[in-house]
Amino acid sequence: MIRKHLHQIILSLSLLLLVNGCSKENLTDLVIGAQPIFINGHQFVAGLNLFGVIRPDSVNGKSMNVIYVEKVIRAVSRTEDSTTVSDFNATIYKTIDNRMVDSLCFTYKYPDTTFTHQPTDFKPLPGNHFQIVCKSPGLPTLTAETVIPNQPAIVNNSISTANHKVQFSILEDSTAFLYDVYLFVGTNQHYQRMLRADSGNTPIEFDVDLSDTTVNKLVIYAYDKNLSEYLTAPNLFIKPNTYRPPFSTVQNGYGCFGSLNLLSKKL
Amino acid sequence: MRKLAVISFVLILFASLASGQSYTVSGYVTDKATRETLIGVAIVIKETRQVVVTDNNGFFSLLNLKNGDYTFLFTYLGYEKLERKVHIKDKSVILPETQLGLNIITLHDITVVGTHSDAIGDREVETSQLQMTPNNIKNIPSAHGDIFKAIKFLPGVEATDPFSPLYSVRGGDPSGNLVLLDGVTVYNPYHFATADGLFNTQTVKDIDLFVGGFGAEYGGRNSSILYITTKDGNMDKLHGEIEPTTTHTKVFLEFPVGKNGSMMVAGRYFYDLPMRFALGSKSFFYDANISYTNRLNAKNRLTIKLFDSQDKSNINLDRYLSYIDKAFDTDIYKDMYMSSINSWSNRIATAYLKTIISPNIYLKTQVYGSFHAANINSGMDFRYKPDSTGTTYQITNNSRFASKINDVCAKSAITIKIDTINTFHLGAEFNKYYFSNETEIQHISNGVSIRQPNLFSCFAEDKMRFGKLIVRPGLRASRYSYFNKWEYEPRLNLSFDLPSNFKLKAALGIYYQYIISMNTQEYEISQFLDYYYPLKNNAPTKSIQYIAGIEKPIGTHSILSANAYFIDMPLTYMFNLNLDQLQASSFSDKLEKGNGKSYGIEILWKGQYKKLSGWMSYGLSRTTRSYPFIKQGKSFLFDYDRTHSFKTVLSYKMTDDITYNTSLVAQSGLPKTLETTMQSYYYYDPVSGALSSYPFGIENNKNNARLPMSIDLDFGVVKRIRSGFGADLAEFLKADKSYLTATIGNILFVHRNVSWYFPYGGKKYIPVGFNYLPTVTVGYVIKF
Repeated sequence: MIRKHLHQIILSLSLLLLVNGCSKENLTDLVIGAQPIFINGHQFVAGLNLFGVIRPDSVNGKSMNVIYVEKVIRAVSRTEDSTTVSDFNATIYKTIDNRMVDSLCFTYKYPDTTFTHQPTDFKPLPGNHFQIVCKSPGLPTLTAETVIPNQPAIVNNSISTANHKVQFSILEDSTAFLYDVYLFVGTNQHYQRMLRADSGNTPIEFDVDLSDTTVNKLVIYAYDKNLSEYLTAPNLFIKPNTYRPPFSTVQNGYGCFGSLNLLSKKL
Repeated sequence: MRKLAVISFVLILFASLASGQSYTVSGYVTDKATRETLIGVAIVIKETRQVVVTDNNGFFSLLNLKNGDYTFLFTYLGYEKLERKVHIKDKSVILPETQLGLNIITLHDITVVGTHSDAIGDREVETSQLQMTPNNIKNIPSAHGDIFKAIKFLPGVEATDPFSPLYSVRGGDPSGNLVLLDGVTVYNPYHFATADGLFNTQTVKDIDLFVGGFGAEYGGRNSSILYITTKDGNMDKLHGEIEPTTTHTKVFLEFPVGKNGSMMVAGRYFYDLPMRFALGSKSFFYDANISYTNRLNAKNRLTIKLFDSQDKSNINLDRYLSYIDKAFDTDIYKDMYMSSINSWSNRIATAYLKTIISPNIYLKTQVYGSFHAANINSGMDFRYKPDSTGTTYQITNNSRFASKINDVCAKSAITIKIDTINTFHLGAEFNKYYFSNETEIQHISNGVSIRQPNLFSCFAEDKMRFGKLIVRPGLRASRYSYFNKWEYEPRLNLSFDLPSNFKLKAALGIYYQYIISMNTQEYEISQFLDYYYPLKNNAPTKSIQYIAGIEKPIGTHSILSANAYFIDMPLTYMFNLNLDQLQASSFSDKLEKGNGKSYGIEILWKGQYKKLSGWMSYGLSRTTRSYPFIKQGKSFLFDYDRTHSFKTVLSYKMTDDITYNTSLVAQSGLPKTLETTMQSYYYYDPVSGALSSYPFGIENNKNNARLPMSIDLDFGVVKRIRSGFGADLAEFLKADKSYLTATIGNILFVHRNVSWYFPYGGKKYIPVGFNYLPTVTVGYVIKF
């Protein structure tokens, strides 16, 4: 009986499918696929997205500070949007004991193509306290602070290059929270990222043989708390639909404003 | 006072034993050909109408019999009935093995699901026990003979994601499921490449799944017990099965050893030719079982079992990405690296002795070692600069999870039939553990956590019959070395026969769990393994279960049942892996306490009607969790909540040679955290000062959306081959039978099931699934 009417059943189901896809909305969903059903509603919070690093060094006379500002956008939106901020201004204040001693202000206006700003008018020193205030029309005012960490130091007489290894210890320092250590051996670059030891000095070890090379340089970057938290953000996997809070160490916005100091040493 | 109570108890005991000189008849029931013990055989004494069934050791015991002659009738579905005369004179009797022969009409191809509500041992009083056999599994088209794929067709059991073998039972965590292989705890009993279980179904005799309300004999987990019983081997002659396919080969042999022994040897090797060819994948796995049983005498059986499995997968997508670039004439993926390199292993050794101490007393003693090791590495690095002036897109991610588990155990359980009312079941178990966990996320190591706790547990249950009422109170007591105090878990199960063949069942119990698992599903494309973590300075997780149900036989071969449950979880744990290393440098710092609730109803029909057999179920449920660090402690839908769940597996025996099978699962979608905001994350090179970025979806509102409904319909056919090449090959190999199997999967492919949504579509979320096309698989099986 079912076999007899099978072709009628198939035809009916196909028509039903087609009828359901008739509206433009349904047809789009039919092509792309059904949209999710939100249970708790959308909660988009607009804001500026800042990445800023203040550092005391320069390369060939060029400041290595960086201030980069975008904004966050809706994941899905009926209107076109872009992360580009067409109009903002930022002021960096240098404060000592909560007293402003210096400030630097710069602005950005579309269609200026300079996205990255490299403030050159101040020379940050270890212990200096900086605050940034970013404003853009229609968005909350972003604020953040950082304290320049001390220059990292290697414990006296701790460097060893025996046994095909390079070993040393970074002197205990409460102002640095994370280290990026680069070992340049000839034309090769070796790298390690290490959290500051819970207590005492931070030991570092590379499995590298220096015996056949002539130009060896060690560079240690020490990051403040903000940058350390941001750079070690754990959930950077591309898997979608995961519980991932914003990457942020700033107030009323997103992103990071931090600082670093560095030690460069020939071995 | 205490002395008076003891004396009174002894007097009552002697009185009940002495009154009218009653005796007991007990023994094993086995398959005549293979000598495998049979679970759930019904034994009726014609003269007294007493009824009992064999337990999961194949053992039965009938009490309170007077001197005289009796006729014992043995019945078991698929086997010929057997009558046996028993003479009792002044002493209890242990019968020699009762051997039942197969009913040649219904044979091994029986597709019916176990229909007797009191068919198997203490299953008389369990509220939430589901049974499967290897034949049931074979008849589920998309299960491909795998236990873990098959159990997801049962009510209350939900898959966690399309690729993962992990499952959630009645809203519980996947780590709340205990898997026992012949009484041995198996950790991560899964294979990587296919998400199959470790267990070759050719070796499996029986599968019991307790989805809640289990008695005091089992503990250490909050959600479920999956008990797999393997075969002991054929005592009659050499039997076996060989199954070669394009992805794996399975071999199974069982044969007699000497006069009283039998052995089973089985193995599987997976080589995945298609992926080797397409991606250069070097993945493989194998598993091997060896079992030896010696029936030392009528009262004693010794069994030794060994198991070994190894998985290695090495998947590098470079070749696949280069295909895409070539196909679209781009270089987007030129600088992309994505790989997954994993290995894990399971090794088990166990020996157990089953002893009939007296007709009333049955003892099982077992020792085992279960060893598991895993190393899961994944890495990704993608850089792309669309033009010379534009932004560089970069995403870099790496993770490593490594774990090692050693579990050495000695346990014993005794069953004492005191009288027709009381059956005591007592036991003790001692586990010595070693756990080692190591994680590294984004090149930052969390260090290594090593813990070596011990766990001692003992239990006591008394199953009491009062006419139509069966009550089984029980108590489990455990002492975990890190807590150094006793935790008590009272349990109660009852069953009551109502008029018109209705049966009411209920269960109440407290459950503790000392070993939890890390929730890494948001750091892996698919979380395949539980990374077990023994609690140390935290109280055990706790759940309190309330279950009530009613069932009624429909006709002679089917049952309709309805169950309602409420599970209160006053203490659960979750690892907050979103904490960076500065906020939480060790595992224990990332552990967060919370609570949860789960409730629902399940309606199940299972049985046989003429040539049609199988089951249908509908579930309506809700499961939630609450943690202080998520949504400020407000309750949210748990990751594996499904409001509606309809499942059916049906087999139609067209002829003796052809069986058609179908399975349908239609369910509400899972809750997901849908991103509402895109934030560029910046990668910073301190050496050059260069910045690159990648847009990530971020969302603070966990499980704020639900995927659309999913529907899976599959169809399969099994055909006995009696002529042609397949039959000739079987004859050449001296096999008894050969079969052709074919499966069409994902018939309703037009309805695309969504696994994820990508929020990069501008105006719409882009749904992504993995079943856009129907699939066809064909297999060939020979049996001898």
